[in-house]
Amino acid sequence: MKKPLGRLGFVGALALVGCSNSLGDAPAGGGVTPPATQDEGSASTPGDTNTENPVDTGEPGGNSIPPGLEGMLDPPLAPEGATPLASREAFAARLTRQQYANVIGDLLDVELAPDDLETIPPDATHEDAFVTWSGGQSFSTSHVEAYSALARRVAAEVDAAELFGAWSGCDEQSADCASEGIAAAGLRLYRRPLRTEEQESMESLFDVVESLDDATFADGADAVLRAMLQTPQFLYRLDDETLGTPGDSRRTTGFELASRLSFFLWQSMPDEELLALASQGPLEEADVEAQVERMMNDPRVERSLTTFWRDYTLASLASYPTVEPDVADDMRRTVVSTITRVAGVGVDEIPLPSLFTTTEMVLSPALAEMLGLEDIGEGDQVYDVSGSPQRMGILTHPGYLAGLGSTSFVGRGKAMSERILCRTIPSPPDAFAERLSEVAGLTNGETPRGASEFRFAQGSPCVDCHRTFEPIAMAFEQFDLQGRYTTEDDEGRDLFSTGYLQDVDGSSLGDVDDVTELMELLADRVETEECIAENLLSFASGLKASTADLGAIELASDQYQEDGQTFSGLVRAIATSPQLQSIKVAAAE
Amino acid sequence: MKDSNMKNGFDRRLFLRGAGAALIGLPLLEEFAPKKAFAQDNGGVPRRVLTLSFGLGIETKLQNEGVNGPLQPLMKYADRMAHFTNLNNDHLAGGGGTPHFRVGATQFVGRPQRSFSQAGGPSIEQIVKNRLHPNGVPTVTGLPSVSSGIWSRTGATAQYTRHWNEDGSAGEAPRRRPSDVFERIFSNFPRESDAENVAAEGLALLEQRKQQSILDAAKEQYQFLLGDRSYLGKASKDRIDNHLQTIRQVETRLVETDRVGGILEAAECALPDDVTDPGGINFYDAPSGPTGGPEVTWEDAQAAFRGIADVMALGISCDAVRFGSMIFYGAGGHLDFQGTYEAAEIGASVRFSGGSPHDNIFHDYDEGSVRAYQHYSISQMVYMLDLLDAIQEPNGKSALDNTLVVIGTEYGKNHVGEGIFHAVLGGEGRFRPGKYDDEHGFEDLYETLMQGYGISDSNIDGNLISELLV
Repeated sequence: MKKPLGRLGFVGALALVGCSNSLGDAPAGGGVTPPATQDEGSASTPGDTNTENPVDTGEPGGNSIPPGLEGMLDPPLAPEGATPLASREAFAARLTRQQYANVIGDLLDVELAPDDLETIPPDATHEDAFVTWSGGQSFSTSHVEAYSALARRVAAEVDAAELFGAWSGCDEQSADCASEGIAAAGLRLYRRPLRTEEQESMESLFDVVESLDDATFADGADAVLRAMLQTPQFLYRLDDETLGTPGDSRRTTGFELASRLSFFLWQSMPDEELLALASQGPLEEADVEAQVERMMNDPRVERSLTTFWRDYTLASLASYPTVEPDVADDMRRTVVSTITRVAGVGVDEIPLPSLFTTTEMVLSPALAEMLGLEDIGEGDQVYDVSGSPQRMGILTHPGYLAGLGSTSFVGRGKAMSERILCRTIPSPPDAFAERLSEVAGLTNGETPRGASEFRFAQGSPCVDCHRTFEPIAMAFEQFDLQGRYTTEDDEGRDLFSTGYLQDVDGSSLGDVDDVTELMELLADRVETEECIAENLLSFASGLKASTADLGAIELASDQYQEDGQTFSGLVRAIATSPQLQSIKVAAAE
Repeated sequence: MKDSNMKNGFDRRLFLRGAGAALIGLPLLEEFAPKKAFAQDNGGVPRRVLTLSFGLGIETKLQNEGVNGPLQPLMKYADRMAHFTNLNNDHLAGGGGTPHFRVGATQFVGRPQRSFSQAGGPSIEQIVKNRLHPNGVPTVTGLPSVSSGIWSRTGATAQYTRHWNEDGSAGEAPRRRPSDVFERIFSNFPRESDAENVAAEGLALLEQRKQQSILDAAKEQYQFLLGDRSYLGKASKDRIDNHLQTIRQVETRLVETDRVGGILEAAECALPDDVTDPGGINFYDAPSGPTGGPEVTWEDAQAAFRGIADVMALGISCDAVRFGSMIFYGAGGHLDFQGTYEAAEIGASVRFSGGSPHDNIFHDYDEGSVRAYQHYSISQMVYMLDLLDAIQEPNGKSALDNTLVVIGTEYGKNHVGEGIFHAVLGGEGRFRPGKYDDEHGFEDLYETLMQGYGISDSNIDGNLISELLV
């Protein structure tokens, strides 16, 4: 590259978003208005790249944001009430498999087959993690190999040079157009304008490859696309963690918020309209609300809804050890669709608490037969299970119960307490290891209730902890490992349905005669609703929400109440919450 | 963009990119030299580290039974191994999760978990690998390491992986199918026909050069995010740094596959066309999960592990693998064994009747069953040792002698982190065989092993066991 590149890259990005041909879905009013500090003339015409006044890129340690870009990347002060999630560490969340595939599909129109995607190791390494949580992600050479192979595979299916031309509106095979194409690709793949160093690096790569024997302009573009697909700026969702005072909060830039919204609501990158809006600076409240409404009315929102409920019900990692693979697939699929048909977007929604009391379940014929229900048609159907004993609410769906993989009050109680009530169940202290072993041996072969009673009879300290999570499982004793109703176990011993719900201190919140009463109790508990909000906030942010984030949850819950306690109302509330629009500036190293 | 000035206008960085793999390796000539020419301080034999892990522990008392106890299969190596009977890890078991997670993450690490499912640092084979080969392992494929073994249906990484990256994040999940291990080790391993293709077609030189430049450009972005101008905080930087380190490992393969000489040499290693997985086993594809487990006869599990061991040993004999970890079931895992295992040599037997050994044997702690079960576990470890010992290498010693092999487990008796068994074999004669009954922390042993390899900055923070060093 012969020309100074810093300014080129930056201007190229603006030229892209200002190009009338590249923003077909831009908001009314003509797409992007360049930041006030930017020469407006440079932003409107492809090829109008001012190369006469190269920008000083600064000394090492200085701010690497090119002059003029601050208007887009520098945030204003945090708004009143802005409270980023407390667990702010390591936001560098890698794109999930699904997000990777969605971005590739949405941007490049390349559909990745499941076999391709499965070359990327699984997202979550933690049994109860949401796939979007950065804290649950591991990393290995398999990731590097997969990203490299996928980049090559994806690039082979597109004409990168043509794409660069279409995105930038500059389709000559010239150095200038290469620069603009790179900037245009960067804006989309990195979800923000390229920084000077990034632009230079990709231009350098373009030059090197194009200069190889037998190489062409297309080879250069192909190499840039493949490289970008392997860079951290593409593979990770990165915020600027250094802008502002260390430890303080700041508001998201337009681009940062655009990404947060799109990955929350679509599990994908921002579209052209959102990018164009973001290029104008931080999004105003009305803009955010309008964009959230638009995005929630887009079919892509289904991706997020399904993923969230799949993780919420633990169906993602459930292996259903006691059923045939086909039935396991039915369980995994129908437990989610039972929820999404009434707690989604664009469906006839019921208040979220009713998820715990609904008597309508989506079931496959095999599952209906398993529950003793009369087959009402091929494929998945909505069954009325009110005539089926003890069957009420999503927690009694066989796909949920079987997914827990346990009938023990410990296994079921811990999973339910953590996911349904958002309670933290501590691990047993090491000092109790021998005692735990001993008790486990003594209760081996007991009914779940018998084993539980034995544990409770041990008194303190065992009971101090176990009483906080075992009781919620008691009423489910009459459901076997596959979620079938039965009143006695394999050895003919009676199983019971009585139980109670307990508070975090272990005290009773009410006795129940059976599961249906427990479900009604759960439906009436604000704690249950807030836990869904907490989980959704975690899912949206990529960080596990903690008690320090309760302010956000309460806020979300208020909005959700106003919207009729619907899931879409909750999604809307969290998408527009200050918490999603705030960033905690990293502590100084 | 291509013009007459471009090719004359490369700066050094561009030149290195464009020139491709061979020049990128220029400052690292020793690393990239033909394999038989390097590692000359060990008679031309590459340096290797292999960790072998089995689950659930052997208490000191049972270890001391020697040929009459569960260690009986191992006793034929008694005069060639350093046998530690009394290690502990109680003081390391922090960081969240059940005791199984916490102790699992300390094995071969020697530091407390950083957080749930994140170890306090790298595992020892990764430390040696990264110190010896910071720019990638110089085998013909550049394969960094291999993680393999038998495990199933656990909910936490620390229960099954013994491979931890530099930042403590989990490395590879162990591959359970022998065929997968074979694919992992040999998929890029050149065969004779590959060498012919290389000579005939020039191996699509443009694509190779392009790919190298692409990797360089991607790597540059990682370096940018780690440098002075980075806009990331420390936690995010750590994550990006881990990714970069892994790229560097993978990158070396490109360098090596560009060396026709290396390919020809490697092609001398005769490989089977494929590897068949022992049948009748349904745990291969079982995902991780909280509870429950697939059933498998002990014979099938053994066949699977030994199939993996065969492939790992082949990889070592072909110099396709230098660093790895193998696991034979981890504490807290769920793999439901079936059948009756008779340890006739020690007069013990165990009847597996469904449920995991962890739940059914160790929670109850029937000593007779424990003795037999761990005899079974140790037999698998010894199978791998025997394979290594059968490989004769150019320096006149066996691959076992030339490889640092550390065998370990998580517990002593049942769930107690005291009186824990470890054994050190091979290691190029750097460690003194014998029985070591004094109490030491995991970190003491691992630190000493690293010191034995001249690595003084492992940050394991253990006390030197000076008598172990020769």
